[in-house]
Amino acid sequence: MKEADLKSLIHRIGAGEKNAIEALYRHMEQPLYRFINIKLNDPFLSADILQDVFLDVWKGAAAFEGRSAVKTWMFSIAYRKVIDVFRKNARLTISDDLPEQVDDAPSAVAHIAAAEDAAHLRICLDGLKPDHRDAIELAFYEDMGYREIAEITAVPEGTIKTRIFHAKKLLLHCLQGRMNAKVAL
Amino acid sequence: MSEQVDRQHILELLPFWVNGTLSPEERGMVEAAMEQDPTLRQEAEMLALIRATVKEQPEMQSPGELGLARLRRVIEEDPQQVLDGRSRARRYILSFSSGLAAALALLAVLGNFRASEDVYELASSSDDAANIVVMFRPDVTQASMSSLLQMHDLVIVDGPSAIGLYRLSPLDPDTDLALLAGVLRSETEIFETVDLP
Repeated sequence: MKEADLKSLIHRIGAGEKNAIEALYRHMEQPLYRFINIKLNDPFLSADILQDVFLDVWKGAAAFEGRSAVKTWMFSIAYRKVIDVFRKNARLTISDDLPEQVDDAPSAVAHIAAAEDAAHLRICLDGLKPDHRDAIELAFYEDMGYREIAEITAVPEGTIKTRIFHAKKLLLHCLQGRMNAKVAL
Repeated sequence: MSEQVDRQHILELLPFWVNGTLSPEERGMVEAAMEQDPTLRQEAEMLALIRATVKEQPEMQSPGELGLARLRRVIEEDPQQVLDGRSRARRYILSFSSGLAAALALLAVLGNFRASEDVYELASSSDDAANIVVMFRPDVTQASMSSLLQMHDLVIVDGPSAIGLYRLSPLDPDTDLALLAGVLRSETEIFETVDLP
């Protein structure tokens, strides 16, 4: 669905058209739920948050000025709600910080290319801390630009670029560790 | 130093070159840099592999049509003053007087009883007696769920609760609920539990 179509739906939702919110739900439910549940890892709570996001859209559509893309607006609502959950529950986040001497050379690329399958990479993705994982998910699953991701996560654009850069380094480090362990066996 | 800064800038733009979201100007800059430096091309290949892996992750089972039914119901209730889902759920705890004891007993049976503040109870309609509380099996498909509900002229009037309970209501108010509950209990591939309030 093109941005113009999404904006038209939002306009109709603002006018109280229930079939428009249903159409928007059908289009956006899957990616939003995925984004929420990756962070919360709680299907029921994620379903609640998803419901809240659509209710916010229902209530706030009339005031939507179209300064952001609809998708960006909805993801930012979801992001704020998830952060609220983290704050209320004081959830701990696992740090994936690593020393900066990660090998960034072409040999590291060869490691990843030589992986028999993507299983190792998936495991490494799961090990990223939420900020890095969000950036990777939004950039590579949702194919969003750094400006959109920065808007959703309310951080400067440069921070998003840096997060993905570091996430990539951490993934390489993790992969190399797993490959080396495999060789040692 | 300047070259290092420039290379760093290109490296930070590469993920967005890979996902196709750079402006034409940025894209041109990245592509020119890649022509000069083959290691940047390798970086881009690696990022493309990461992107492909992220995209290949299995889809999550989202609330789907059940979530839409839940949303539709909340909006239908009061289009001007919709409550957020969790506040609404807590309000139901207070209004669920006639069915509370039964629901708590059910929760206890299921071994999922939680502290009072965390209890997320099912909604109470104005006529609790006209409802059946069910839990679907985790592996049931949406298609089989929809088919069964349609077969028995049932609609979901609330749920899922935090522990996955749904409240079903027959379209025909004269339906014999006890009989219907018995029929639903025989659908063991669809329902894990079927209870009357």
